[in-house]
Amino acid sequence: MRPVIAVVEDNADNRLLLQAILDHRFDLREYENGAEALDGLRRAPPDLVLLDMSLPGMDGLEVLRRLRADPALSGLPVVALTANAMRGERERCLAAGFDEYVTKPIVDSRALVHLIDRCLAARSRR
Amino acid sequence: MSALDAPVEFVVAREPEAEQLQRAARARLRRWGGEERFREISALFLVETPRRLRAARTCIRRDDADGLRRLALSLRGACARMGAARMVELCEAIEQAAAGSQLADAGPLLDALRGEYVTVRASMERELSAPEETLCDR
Repeated sequence: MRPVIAVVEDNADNRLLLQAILDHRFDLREYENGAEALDGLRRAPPDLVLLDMSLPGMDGLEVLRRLRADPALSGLPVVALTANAMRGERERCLAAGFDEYVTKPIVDSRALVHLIDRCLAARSRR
Repeated sequence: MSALDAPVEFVVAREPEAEQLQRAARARLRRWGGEERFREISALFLVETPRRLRAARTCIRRDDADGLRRLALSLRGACARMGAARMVELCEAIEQAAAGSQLADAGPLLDALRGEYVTVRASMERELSAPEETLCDR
């Protein structure tokens, strides 16, 4: 069975791009905002979450905080999608509780798939 | 007639390097998602960019620095995906102006961004209207 990846991203163009890169390997579920995502993830937990940091309203950090506070979802691997390529951003994301982080625009599709595979493998070893 | 509505033939040809960057970015999108998905992404860019530019203008008029910063951020990602390097630079400058609440500085930058979009759109439309067999060679 193919792993299920939840994509939480408000921009339709970013969602289309992630479909182009990922949907030959994974089943994707898409959410456009944090509230919709939390509801959907609770109903049907995926294998991994790709979470945009700069969602309107409830931002990525707040969605992550709520995921980590929910016993049913706290162990989910969550990868931050961020447009911020500043030095130290990765450390900031990891300190906040993300498992990994990816900067946008995505320019290396293989690196993204590899990162997802790595996170999924780490989860299965837990 | 606004710059956004200008016919493609009125657009002045720009330096080849910028065009090459855009072609490379579009070729990458084709490799990732195939022709159909590439066309979907391109069509969305051509619909969403004018909408975001208009919304950005509204933010400046309403003195909404945070809204402008968010729009410039979205635009920057979309432009980077299309290899539109000059648009990315202008978006970054608008983000910085918005972050510093310098909305008066953002107006001319937004004008420049609109102008640059017309050039990028022309290049994309030329490529999208080309027969698919010629696109495969790029």
